[in-house]
Amino acid sequence: MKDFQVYLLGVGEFQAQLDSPTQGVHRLSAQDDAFSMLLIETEAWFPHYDYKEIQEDILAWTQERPFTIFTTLSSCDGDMRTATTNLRGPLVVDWEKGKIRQFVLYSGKYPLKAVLAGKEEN
Amino acid sequence: MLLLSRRPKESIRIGDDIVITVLEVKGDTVRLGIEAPQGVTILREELYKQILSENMAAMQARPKEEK
Repeated sequence: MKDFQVYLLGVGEFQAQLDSPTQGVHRLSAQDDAFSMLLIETEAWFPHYDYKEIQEDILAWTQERPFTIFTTLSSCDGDMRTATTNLRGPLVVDWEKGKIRQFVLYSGKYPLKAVLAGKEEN
Repeated sequence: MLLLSRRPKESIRIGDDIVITVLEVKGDTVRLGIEAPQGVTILREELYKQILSENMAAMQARPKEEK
């Protein structure tokens, strides 16, 4: 479990912990326990996920430190077959600095609710 | 809300480093140019609201073992 400073659009900045309760799914829990959210490693579920249009912004933010892209899960209800993930607003995890920030793909080529059903982890 | 009138090619400045310029007015559409530091997120209002809505939906999601 690791502490992160998180910035989410419309939510603002908060401190949270990231852990992995199940394989391939991560849980981001606000330090004050107000909420938690589930995240997936996007490229594991969507191997062709293309974030080129924001790559420059990500590199400027991470200053070329290693990063991983996660996306939020919703409609989960404990069943991954009904879960959707927001491919439009990916969260970039900067492991070294302990920061997570949400970016947005402007082009609209990815949906806000991409269905996980039928997707398999690599 | 602050109200300002601008013509094409005129700008407004927000703080020291954000400049919004009216590039073109065509019918009921205004084309804007926005200069801002790289870290500033600029979104159409409707997309901002959609992302916010998804973030809120994600916050309600709970793993099965917590039920």
